[in-house]
Amino acid sequence: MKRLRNFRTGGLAIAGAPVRLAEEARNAYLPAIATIPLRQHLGPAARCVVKSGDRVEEGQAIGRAEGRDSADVHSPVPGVVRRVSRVRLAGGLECEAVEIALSGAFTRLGKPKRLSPWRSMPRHEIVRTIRERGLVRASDGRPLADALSVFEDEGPCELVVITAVTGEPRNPIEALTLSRRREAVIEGFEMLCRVLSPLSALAVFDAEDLGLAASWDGAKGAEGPPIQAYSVPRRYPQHLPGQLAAALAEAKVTAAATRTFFIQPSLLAEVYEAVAEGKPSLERCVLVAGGAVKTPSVLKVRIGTSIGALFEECGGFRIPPQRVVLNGALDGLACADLDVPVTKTTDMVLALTAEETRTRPERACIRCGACVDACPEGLDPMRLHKLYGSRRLSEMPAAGLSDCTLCGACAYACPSRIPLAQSFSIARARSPEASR
Amino acid sequence: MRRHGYPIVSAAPFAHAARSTASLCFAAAAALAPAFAWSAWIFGPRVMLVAIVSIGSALASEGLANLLVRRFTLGDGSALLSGLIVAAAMPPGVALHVPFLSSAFAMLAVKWTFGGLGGNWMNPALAGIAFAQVNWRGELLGGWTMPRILSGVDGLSASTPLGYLADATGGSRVAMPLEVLKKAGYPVSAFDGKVTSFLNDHVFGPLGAELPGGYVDLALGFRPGAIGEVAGILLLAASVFLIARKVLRWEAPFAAFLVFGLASRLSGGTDGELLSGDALFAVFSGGFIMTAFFALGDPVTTPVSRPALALFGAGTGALAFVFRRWGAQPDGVAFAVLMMNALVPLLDKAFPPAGRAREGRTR
Repeated sequence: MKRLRNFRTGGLAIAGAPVRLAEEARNAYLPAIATIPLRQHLGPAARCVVKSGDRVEEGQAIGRAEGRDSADVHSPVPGVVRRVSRVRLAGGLECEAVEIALSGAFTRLGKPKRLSPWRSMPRHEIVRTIRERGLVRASDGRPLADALSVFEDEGPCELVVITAVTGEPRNPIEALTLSRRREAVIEGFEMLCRVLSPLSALAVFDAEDLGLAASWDGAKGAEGPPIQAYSVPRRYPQHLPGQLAAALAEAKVTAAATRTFFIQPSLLAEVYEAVAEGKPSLERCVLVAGGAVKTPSVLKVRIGTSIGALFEECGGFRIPPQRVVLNGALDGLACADLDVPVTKTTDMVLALTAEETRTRPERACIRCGACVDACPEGLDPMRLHKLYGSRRLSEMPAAGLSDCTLCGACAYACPSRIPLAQSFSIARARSPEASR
Repeated sequence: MRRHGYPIVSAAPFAHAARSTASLCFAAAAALAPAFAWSAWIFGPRVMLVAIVSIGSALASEGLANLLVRRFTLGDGSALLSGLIVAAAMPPGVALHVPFLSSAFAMLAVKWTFGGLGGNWMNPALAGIAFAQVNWRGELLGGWTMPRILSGVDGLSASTPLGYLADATGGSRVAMPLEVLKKAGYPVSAFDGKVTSFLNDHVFGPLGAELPGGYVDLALGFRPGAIGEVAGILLLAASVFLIARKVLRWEAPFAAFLVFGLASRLSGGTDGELLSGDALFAVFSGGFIMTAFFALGDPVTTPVSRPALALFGAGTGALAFVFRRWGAQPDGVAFAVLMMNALVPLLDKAFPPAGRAREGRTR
């Protein structure tokens, strides 16, 4: 096991209060009514293939992928379609959703698993299975099958990086997956190697998980290269692919332009379940945390469960939260209410107190340079903000907007609470050439 | 709720750093408080009156500007801080209209004509001080008082060490300022004598050196001087605190001290002898420490990148030295900063804030 240093410029050292959690993910109650959005991925919403009154089985497809970066959607529970309605997702966007009232028998849950002999499958067959099971990469919302085939089209893969490094606050679900579901992760990794045939593989851990990292160093399946373990100090946003690649290149582990595929351990376990057990994407491990939650926990949740139900299961609120957020305090999405359903890309639900958000009135820029110091890409957010304020959006990509990852470090650091990341994402949306 | 397509929630990030613009201003103001309390003990309660008038005028002017532009900014603490810094440069016995008008000028003419905090290119407080120095030279000269510890009474008028030297030597500087002051009968406190002899017996003596009398008075503020500027040692302590808390950046003050101190040391007295100047006297007399930390620490009117900050500080130190040695004012450090303020856009352009912007890299 080797230790890496962080990416070179910027970043934030955030000393959050450590959260004491149970050793294992707890099964959450099944939702009486599951609200399953048909858009749980980067691309356009899936086409609804059920109608009100239909009986559906656990794992039955209820939405079919439509176009690029779209994925099939399956029913997480057996039951009857109550209606097809609209739901507001985290981040505020609305999309079509299927409401299923739970009833009838489970076909998978609690039943013995039938394993399929995947080792005799050719690689395209594995990709097809992954596509049919609707697997989505939580970090960017891209369907895994699309990510794999895009990668295939552009040339061979040199390196697979398994990332257990998380954003802010620290999310223990990847480390839990690696310690509790080692066999599933290794077999999922073998399947991935069958598809990508990488030359080498490594796993990157938070420096707080040194023991776990040591136990994974040199891990090897029947297929694929051995996994070398690296640890890296916690520094936001070390979990982003660009910053991981920078840290690896800095330590001369890899060359700067190595063609790398980044994947999280929980997704490898899902790949195993999808290919070997034929299980579609039906449930997620979700960290329920934040200062307002009575007993923070990791729950295993069916997709379509409302986040309100998760908070209830964690003992409810200690104090009224100031803000409810999905997937990270710095780069996550705000929830307008507690009816927001858990989707394939949900891995964290936070109920933040006023002490955690530290909202203050927005003030004028005092040129303190905190945003410049915080930017992990070495950009000048001050200048970008000036361009945005004077409506010179077309000049922003060249001034660095094309390299912005919208990690939010600049806006976190700003003492005047200028919504820098928000301006940059709006500018990005208005000038398409700025997106990477 | 059911309107389609438009996000109705705010964007990330949802957590923020502990510091805010207001907390930075209040921290700087709080760090100045001990110097004011000390000054009130040395010079008497009138010090507080001057401070209250200056701060009150700054806050009222800010409030007036707020009413005019319909934007509420009194809570950001910047007006309070500017009022304090203007008061710090005032003599204890100054006529009250001087701090009142100076602070009002700082807020209304310097800060709000450019759009308030963040918009001004010139440090408002220093502009206010310069305004007072050019308008009310007589009032300022008449306002210096002798500390109670030296004179035994409140409000005995006197001249500052710098002012006295300027008069005594016809505007040029001398190699041993404290010697000159001593010969002229400038008072030294009993406390200074005790501390100096203790240091000479136990610290400097064994090292083969000797500390002349007067420096302890100079550092502690037992001499005529401006309200907030006399207690150099308290200001240094406040600055260490603010730099450790990262309220101030160290590059500009450090460079200013280095250049100003070296220049004062290198250029000696009237005889033109090299390496005979008194750097310690130069730093502790006048408003140099105050300005070096609180004006060079103002992010709005200084550059952003580290090399530019260091250059800014060095330039200020050099100009402060030139103004003090050859200038018309006994202490021209405020003018040094104001001149450097004008160069900030140039420095920002020469040394852009972000490394990548400097390389002009686009991917």
